[in-house]
Amino acid sequence: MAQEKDSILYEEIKKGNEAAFNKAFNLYYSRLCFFADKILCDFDLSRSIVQQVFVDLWIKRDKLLVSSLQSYLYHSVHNAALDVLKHKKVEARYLSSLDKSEPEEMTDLMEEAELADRINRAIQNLPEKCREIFLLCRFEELKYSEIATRLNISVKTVEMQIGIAMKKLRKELSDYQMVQLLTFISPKKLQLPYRVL
Amino acid sequence: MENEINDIELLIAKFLSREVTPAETDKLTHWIGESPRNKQIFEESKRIWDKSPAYFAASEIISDREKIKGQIIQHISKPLKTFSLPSWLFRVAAILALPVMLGIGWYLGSSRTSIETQLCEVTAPKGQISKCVLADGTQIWLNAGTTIKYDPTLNGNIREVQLDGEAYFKVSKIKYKPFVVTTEHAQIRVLGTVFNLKAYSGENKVETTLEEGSVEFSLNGSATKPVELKPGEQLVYNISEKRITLGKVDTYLHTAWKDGKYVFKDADLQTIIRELERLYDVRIHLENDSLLHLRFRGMFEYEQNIFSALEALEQTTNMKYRMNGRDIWLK
Repeated sequence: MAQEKDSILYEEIKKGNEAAFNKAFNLYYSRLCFFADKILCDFDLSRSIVQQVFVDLWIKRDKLLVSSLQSYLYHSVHNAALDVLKHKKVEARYLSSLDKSEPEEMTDLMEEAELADRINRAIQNLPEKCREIFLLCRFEELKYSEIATRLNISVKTVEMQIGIAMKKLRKELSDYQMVQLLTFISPKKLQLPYRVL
Repeated sequence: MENEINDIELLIAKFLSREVTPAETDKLTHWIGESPRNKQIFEESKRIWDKSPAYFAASEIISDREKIKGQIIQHISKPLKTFSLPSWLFRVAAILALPVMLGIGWYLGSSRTSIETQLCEVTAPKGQISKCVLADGTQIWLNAGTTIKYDPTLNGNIREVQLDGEAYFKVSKIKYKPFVVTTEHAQIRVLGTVFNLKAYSGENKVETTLEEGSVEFSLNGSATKPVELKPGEQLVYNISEKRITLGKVDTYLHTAWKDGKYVFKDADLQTIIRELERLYDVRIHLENDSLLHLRFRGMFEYEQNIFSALEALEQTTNMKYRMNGRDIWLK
């Protein structure tokens, strides 16, 4: 199902359909950024290499031979990220570990990036106030009392909102966690970027 | 029941954000132990908490998307071919051309044998600013959509450059050899000076702005005495009305483009649209004529993409834009 949609999207991009390009961007961009970030540990840099991959996709669209858009995007980002590492010459450890088990390593990173992206999208979908409080708590690592002071609300409200955020996030991700369970059970040596979804 | 679930939700959240008391931890541990389902709920929550990436906001994602569209447009406007200069031409013509932002096309007129008829053509396509340096050291900046032609040897009694578009000239002073720029309708004659000349074919005016030195402006095929400009003056020739106006201006407004800045002070929308069309190689359509009465002040930069320019327009007016390929509609 997902595979089929992916190939339709690619055919449309090849024809120069800008809406299809937007769709592909919305679908894959943030996921690829998280993926590149797992390799580079630099989110701004990750964003810029993923952007370049999308620019190339559009400019070279009629010259590309791509069987799966998702596969093409992940591999392009992977290569670009490794190139950056090579330039930085800090890749020694990562690359040597990669040489031995590249497919697994990449698939693992893809799965992690996919989970990160799901969670990120779920956070995006939280009600605004709830999201703000959750982000302050989770990423700014503020205490409930500090958030309360900063936003001029009661500690009880903060407590409630974090509770609501966690419940909503869990609900939105529950079907995904089921799928995770399935992929875990199914044999892992699937061809590289294809995932059962 | 409903209430109990909520208490547990709060407890889990407090645990994850390290706000729990020891007594609450005991309560939570006890609850987790009660059933596999409870354990699963707790583990799912913990996993979400631990795996949350640094937040990537939807608005940032959209702005990244618009940013790459700007890059794509700039990329498309780069010419596919750049011609390399044959080395013999260096010896014969002894000219040097520096592409600042790419985009130089070479054209050798007529035959190779008659050197004096060989003209060199330099073009800054739409979406590009270029710069070239002539053999005498004269520097010429070409605004987007501009072509100049000249004899690269600079032989002859005058140094002559033909212009279609807009260029900023820093002319080296050679006393015995005046420098003449000809356009479709007019001619500017200088010795050594710095000036800007805007004469796009298809536009109704020719604008000469003088920064330093002096220039003489004359109309093609006219016997009247040339008009001399002083530094800080601008001469505008209205082609359809055949009318010349001369006045003091802030020259920076008319020359800042060579540094990639497009500055407007009390400009109408039509003027801005024409600049944007050339600068980004797009077509802009107005869906609402009442917008034509608006006046603008502000600045666009060559380094920025078309979207930031359009967004600046949107923010200062209640204009909206939509885009399809290289066509943009404003209303």
